[in-house]
Amino acid sequence: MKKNPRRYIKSIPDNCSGCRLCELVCSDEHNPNFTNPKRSRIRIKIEHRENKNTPRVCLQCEEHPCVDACPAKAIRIHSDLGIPIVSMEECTGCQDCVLACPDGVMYFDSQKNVALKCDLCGGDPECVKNCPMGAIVFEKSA
Amino acid sequence: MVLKGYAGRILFINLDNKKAGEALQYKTEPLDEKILRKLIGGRGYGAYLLYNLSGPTTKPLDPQNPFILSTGPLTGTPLAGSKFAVITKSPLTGLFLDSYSGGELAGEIKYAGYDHIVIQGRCAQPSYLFIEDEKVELRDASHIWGKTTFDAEEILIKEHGGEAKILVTGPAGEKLVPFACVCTDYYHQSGRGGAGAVMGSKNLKAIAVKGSKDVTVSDSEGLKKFRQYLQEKFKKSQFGDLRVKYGTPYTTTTASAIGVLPTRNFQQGSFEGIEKINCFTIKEKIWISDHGCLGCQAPCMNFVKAKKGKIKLVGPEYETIALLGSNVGVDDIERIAEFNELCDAYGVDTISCGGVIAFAMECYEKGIIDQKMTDGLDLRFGNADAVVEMIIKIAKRDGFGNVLADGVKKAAERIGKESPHFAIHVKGMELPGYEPRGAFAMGLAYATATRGGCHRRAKPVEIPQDRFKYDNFGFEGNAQMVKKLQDFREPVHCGILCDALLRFCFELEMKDIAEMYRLVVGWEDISAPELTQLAERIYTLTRCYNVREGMDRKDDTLPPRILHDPLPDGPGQGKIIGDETFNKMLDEYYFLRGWDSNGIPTPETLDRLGLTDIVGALPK
Repeated sequence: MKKNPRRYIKSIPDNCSGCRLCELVCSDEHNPNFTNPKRSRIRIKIEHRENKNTPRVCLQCEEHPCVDACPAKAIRIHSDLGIPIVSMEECTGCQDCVLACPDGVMYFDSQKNVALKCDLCGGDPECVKNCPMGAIVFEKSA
Repeated sequence: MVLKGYAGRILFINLDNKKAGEALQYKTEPLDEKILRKLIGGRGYGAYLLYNLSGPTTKPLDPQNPFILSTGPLTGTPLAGSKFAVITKSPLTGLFLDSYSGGELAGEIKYAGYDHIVIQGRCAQPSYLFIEDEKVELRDASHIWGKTTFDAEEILIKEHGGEAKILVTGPAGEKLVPFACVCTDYYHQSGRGGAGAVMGSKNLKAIAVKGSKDVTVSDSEGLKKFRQYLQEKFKKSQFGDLRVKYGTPYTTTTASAIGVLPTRNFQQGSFEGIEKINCFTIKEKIWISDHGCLGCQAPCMNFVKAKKGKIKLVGPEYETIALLGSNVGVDDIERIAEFNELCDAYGVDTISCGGVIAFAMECYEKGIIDQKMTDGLDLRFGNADAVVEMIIKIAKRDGFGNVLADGVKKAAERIGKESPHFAIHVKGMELPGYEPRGAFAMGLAYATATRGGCHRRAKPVEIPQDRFKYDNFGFEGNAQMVKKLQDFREPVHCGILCDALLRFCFELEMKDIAEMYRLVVGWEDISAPELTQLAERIYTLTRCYNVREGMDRKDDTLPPRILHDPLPDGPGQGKIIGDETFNKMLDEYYFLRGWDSNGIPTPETLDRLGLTDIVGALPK
């Protein structure tokens, strides 16, 4: 397999206002017409008293421990994007991937019992398009 | 429920003298689909609930006064900045109150599966409500009772693992100060009208909400395109960039120049110290970062640090700078930030608090009161240390603070002599940061706002003449303009989205609001004319609430100073609003609204707006 350039969503916390519009559009994008930020694959860590807001989303790391951790083999590398994608149908909700993720950016939807991982919206991330502050950018490094 | 956007349910809770841990009486009811399109949600539907659940015999601090948290179908959707409203009978005015707040709570109420939460009754002891989807529990609040809003919220957030969103009242609410606010996400307040005292009267320190349900929309592809449209509107808007860069304090740059900046208890309309408290000084001296409400494309709030980091908050907003800055004669932005933080911590509205302290300062400088009465405080204008003392005294109802703690109207009754002449309020609510003598239409806006002296229903200040033809120092065109500005806010406040965001950053029109409802709710044929009629309906419904309380034309007035005295400075120098001009504006306004010459909605108007059955008989 040819090596893809690493593509991921980079966060710039200093720019983030904590509005969570990214969470709202992410949740809607992956389940059209339904919104709850608790189903988003990007989350803003908000430290209110200091107004410190940190967008936290999968860095699409090359080691992908989530793939290795999944006992159901439900996380597989996408041939075009070159990033791990969770198959919603095959995910059993065991959360081994959540524990395995070193950055704590594999989220979990306890209502639907599935792991939530950034899939870059197939290559055109909705959160990046909607961020009013430039606090998340789509990085395409070689 | 077929309609999208709505959660579809109202949660009714009766605290019924219960103790923490005891089972609560609560029930859910579906929204009444017959009236949904007539009143939509938020302020409209909330007003309907309040109209039915309270009346002239309900006292604001009675257990039965409903404390209603209202959202609307647009709240929590991926559209724009969301807000919620507290709707209740105001302890400050005894009239209809709707008080809005941003932050994150608005969405969470919807995610928990409710459009409105109605709370009546009183807890047997200090408690807080925990609502998680279907779970509704009364929990002990003895560990947070007496605590500041910041401390109480921090404790609850720790207890609930961060995902619950909290509404909390401060020590002033516990002491039933009728301009006590409620706070959420530390820095967001439903400031005006005393919602905090209503919570206090219920022995309810806080409400924690957590929700796992989805908010639905009708057309998420359409919303995507609409968000792009909003981005384009933002780029083209006159004030969008400035709003994000400076926030509401940008108003300071013009307010003083055009002579509408309340200064020393509305004795002047411009302030010699404006350069030290304007938005540029904020940016240079205390600004740290921007802060936004849930889903907002134009985060307009400033997180600041002052006094070497000891003071930190989101603010001060323009109104705070005006009322706790120029209006008390203080020209130090760090001290204003300090006042702001104190007000938020103790849970009092910065506008009313600034108004009542400025009033006391004028009484003091005029020799109507002296240091014996002020507990030894030298209450001269500009004495920032005295302002700090007074905020705490008011919130705790301590000594002279207790004389002021019931608002400026009552304070003037207590202090007497010529002080009622300069007690600056409408219907008991202290005026915010726009001096009407520099923009006469603002006087009409204050006189006709449902909740009293309020700038958030219409702000006819600095409106370009190409948008409206009006006489800034006369009456012509003013009634028409005020009505139109009020009407625009109504469907937004039903949404509930941020009115300032839609109006100033996107410069949206009624047709855009209709499009939002079409995309979210799925009302395919909703139109701007329908929303204009909806606005008239809701304005008249809230009017009827107040009329039923005994209010009429005599209450739609301005403080004697504002109405009869000339302004000594600024472009409005020497201009007097006067009875004649004011009455002409009011007559025309009533006519446009379809109310009679006494300000009572006519039976024909009620019929035209489809309100006859909802409103019932009004006093003659």
